[in-house]
Amino acid sequence: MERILSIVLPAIPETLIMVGVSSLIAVIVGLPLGILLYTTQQGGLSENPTVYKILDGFVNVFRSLPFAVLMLLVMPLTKLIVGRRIGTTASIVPLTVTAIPFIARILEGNFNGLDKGIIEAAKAMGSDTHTIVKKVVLKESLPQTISTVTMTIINLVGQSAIVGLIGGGGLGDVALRYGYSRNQIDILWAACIAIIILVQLVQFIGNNLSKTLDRK
Amino acid sequence: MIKVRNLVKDFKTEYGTFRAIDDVSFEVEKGEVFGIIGLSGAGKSTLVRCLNRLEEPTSGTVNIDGVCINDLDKKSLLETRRNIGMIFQNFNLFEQSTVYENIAYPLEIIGMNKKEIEATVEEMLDFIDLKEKRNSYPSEISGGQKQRVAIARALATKPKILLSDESTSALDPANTEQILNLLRNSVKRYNMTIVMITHQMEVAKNICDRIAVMENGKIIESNTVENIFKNPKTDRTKSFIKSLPDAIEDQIFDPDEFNGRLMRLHFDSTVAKRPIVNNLIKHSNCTVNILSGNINRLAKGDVSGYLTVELDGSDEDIEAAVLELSKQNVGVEVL
Repeated sequence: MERILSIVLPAIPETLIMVGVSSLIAVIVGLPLGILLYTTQQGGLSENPTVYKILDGFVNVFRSLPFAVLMLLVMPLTKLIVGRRIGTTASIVPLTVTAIPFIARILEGNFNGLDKGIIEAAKAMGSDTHTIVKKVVLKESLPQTISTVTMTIINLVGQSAIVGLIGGGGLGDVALRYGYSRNQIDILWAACIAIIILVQLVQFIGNNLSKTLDRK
Repeated sequence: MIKVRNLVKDFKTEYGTFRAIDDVSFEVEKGEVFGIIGLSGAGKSTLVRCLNRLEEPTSGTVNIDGVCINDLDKKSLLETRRNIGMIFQNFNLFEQSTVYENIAYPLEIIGMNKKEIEATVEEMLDFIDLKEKRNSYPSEISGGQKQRVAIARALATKPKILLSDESTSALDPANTEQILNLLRNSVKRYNMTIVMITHQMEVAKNICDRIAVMENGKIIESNTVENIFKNPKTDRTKSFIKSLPDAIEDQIFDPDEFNGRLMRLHFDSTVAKRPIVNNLIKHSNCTVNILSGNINRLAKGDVSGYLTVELDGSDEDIEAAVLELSKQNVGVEVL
């Protein structure tokens, strides 16, 4: 038992850091990107076909690549930013790159799902685009945004296990190295249970937060 | 106050161009409640959205208080919109904001400070009589209450004009009456000019000063409510009047089936209180046979009605009777 804990426990903060930092950066970049997709689209608040086509293309390209492939593709970028290609810190780069277009696309969908009448009412009151986004769109879609972030975090927990393939550290790395390569099934199971608990916890907190804040 | 000239709005569809507004012109005076009535698809909603440029007209002009709003740049357009309140069929309240925050929103965007906002929101809450709901969310109040909040939000900045797009269509009769009362009060208290879109004649006759009837993107008839009821010119208008719950079926009589002459007499408030039939019998040698009739109650206690009668007698007697009726300000239409 002690052996299991000594191997699995240190991997938990590694996973938390990878997932936490990449989620944070992905939200910081993905949210404005989602807003831009929403506002520049045809019939949007600040319609701009050129900008929309470029952003839309960027999101589509990155969303169509499987994570394992993307991870290898961004390695030069990882080396440039972090200084090395593998390890916990290095894993944050591909995780962030995959999460940004994911968040942006889902947020765009959330914004488009808002009642058009509410946006029309805001326009009729003489609000500019900036105010509509800040005070109406973001506020009205807050519960969905929280659900989206929750979903992103859970995806990243799964993808952070894949970076174990290239020695990324964290629970996935432990499961692969000990569980698969050395055939230590108990470690594999312990790592799995830790991942399951982590995902459940994130989902629980996310669901509750979204539900509490939703006044609709 | 509002001058609309030769307004046209085309929509491009897969099948070609669809003309939603077809050369519409009308004027609305200050302090007036102007109704635009029509079936769904007649172009009413598009028309009202051209007034604050939520829809860009294809051609024609909209002039508000001497300013042609079609020429305004983006910034001036936003300023103008702040002087035009708007309410909707589905209320369109911000669902994630409280009643208070909803009413405060238009005040925040004009840069009012917190203290003034608080005072204004309180005033509006008092006006709509919903003080106790200030911290409720829209999902926690009824449809009628939601529309009252929407009215408070639209009037908070004290605009000169209120556009109402089917604002009572989603409400039951009791709530409809309450909303109409609130709108009447807003005309009185804030000297509001209202453009009211509706498909309910019941609503239009209860609040409007003048009514325009719309069909296929055109205004086919426009008059004071009294005149519209007294003497509807188009079949569409007649069918709207007939749809009223208190309207008696306006039977179609075949003049050939009667010995005498069939006439439709129409009259307004001043005439309705006088004994016109009695006078007619007294002052003419005709026999009078009443076939059908009705009186409609309109906004501000006005009434408008008609009588279909058969007059039997010699040509001279009938002519004298018609003259007598005209003298009493009764409109006569020979069927």
